[in-house]
Amino acid sequence: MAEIRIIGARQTGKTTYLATLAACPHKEYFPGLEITPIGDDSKRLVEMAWDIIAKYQSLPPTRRGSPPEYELEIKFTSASKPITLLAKDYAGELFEELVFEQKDWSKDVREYVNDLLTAQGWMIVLTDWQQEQDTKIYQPAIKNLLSELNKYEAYNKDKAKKRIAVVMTKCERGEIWAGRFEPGEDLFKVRLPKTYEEMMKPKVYPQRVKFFACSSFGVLGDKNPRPNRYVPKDGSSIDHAYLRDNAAWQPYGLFAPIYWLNTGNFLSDNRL
Amino acid sequence: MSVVVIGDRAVGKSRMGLALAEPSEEPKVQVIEPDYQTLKDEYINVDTGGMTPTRDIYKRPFKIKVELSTKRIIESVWIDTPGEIYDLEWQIEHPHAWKEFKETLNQSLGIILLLHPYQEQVKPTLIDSTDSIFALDRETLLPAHKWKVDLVNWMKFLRENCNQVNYILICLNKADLFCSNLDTVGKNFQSYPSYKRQDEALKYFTAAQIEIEKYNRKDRPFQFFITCVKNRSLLELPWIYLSPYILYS
Repeated sequence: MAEIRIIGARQTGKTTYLATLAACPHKEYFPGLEITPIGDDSKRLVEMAWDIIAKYQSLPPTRRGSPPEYELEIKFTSASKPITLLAKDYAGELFEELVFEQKDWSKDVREYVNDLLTAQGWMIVLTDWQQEQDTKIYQPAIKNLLSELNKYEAYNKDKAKKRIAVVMTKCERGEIWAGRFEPGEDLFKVRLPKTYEEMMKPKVYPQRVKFFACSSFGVLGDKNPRPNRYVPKDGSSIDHAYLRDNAAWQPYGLFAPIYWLNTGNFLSDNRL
Repeated sequence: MSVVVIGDRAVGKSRMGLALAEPSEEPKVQVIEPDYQTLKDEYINVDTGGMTPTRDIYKRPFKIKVELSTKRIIESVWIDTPGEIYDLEWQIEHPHAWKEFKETLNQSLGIILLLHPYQEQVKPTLIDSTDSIFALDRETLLPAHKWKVDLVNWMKFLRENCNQVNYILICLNKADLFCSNLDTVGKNFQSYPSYKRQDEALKYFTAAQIEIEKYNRKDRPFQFFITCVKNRSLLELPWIYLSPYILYS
């Protein structure tokens, strides 16, 4: 079982990622792939995917407070051993407050960090919509979080080093879709250079960090690389987009980070 | 969590609830509790056939049957409001009640603001052909430039006072006065994905297009609709939009 934490700022698509993973709208393309939601919260997550995302609306923001916990059993082929994912989905605001000095963290931010430290693996979710986030939020927040991790691991030498999957979401956009095969070099290093640099520092133990690209919406088809996303013309922010066509809903790369966090191996089919 | 329906006097706030309770063939949204007869007895003036004006803020638990990916029954509290409370004079005379109401509003899950169309938008022939109980004098509607100011004031009010509310829906009501092919428009709107509904509805708000772009919220944007009690498809859309959020709140 991989007990992981989904970590990231607001509007990076953390819950959309989890709901899409749980609903797995592209299951038909992968014979033998089975996702079984376990428990009421996880079943509800699947229903939210169909009642909200597939209906071209956006999921409600995750509120501060006790985070929802989702458990999914994932079987990649009928013959393979299932992996179990246990994920907590925290409000993005908590991540954003990691930019403050540790001494200024509020009680719930401190509790958040303590809980992150107990998990087996982290999935850090980032987007590059607003590139100033690289220096304003991502790099300073990750720097502080990794400093806590170093302290924790120095004190708990018997525990295995935590794997960290760094995932760029919303990769269906034309300008980054092509970078999905080498996300470390072609996405993070180029688009979020300070954050990338922070993750690659020797003290972080960069061997534990892997970069991934994923898209909860995907593109419109194998021969139609236009993003399956729609940005309305209503004055709202450009990152406030919706699924464009639910019949063509084929997410990309959702399983790869979880599989790696769980097994340390990579999936051969990069669409998964 | 509640849903508050707001808007000026006689804009059709209570009638929206009554119309959604009215039995219909294959509705996508149906208020099932309170039932239609109960609401009718309460809202309709038996002598005139018109609506009895709402006098107080009225919180009413309700159940609706709604078609999402499957049929669901959802429960919430519908808060109906008298149009008077949106008059400045009333707010000055009742400061405590107004403050309390604004708090209630900001704690709600969703807000539905109903607006009248503006004068230039309505078609005289459609006004003339409307039933007597819906009769309306075109001159009582605001001209476009004043309607635009009114909408800006609403958007400012909602931004300032309802920052906790994720779902704020702005509906241009009485679409029968500005859509001559109401049935077709209703069918089209119900077939649109939600984002296209937003773009298509905004075409009826073009008099305030620049202001909407300026005052819309960057995240959790206001959602725009056209509605009409005479067209079930249009009337259901704000509730279809809100229902999953009520269900999963």
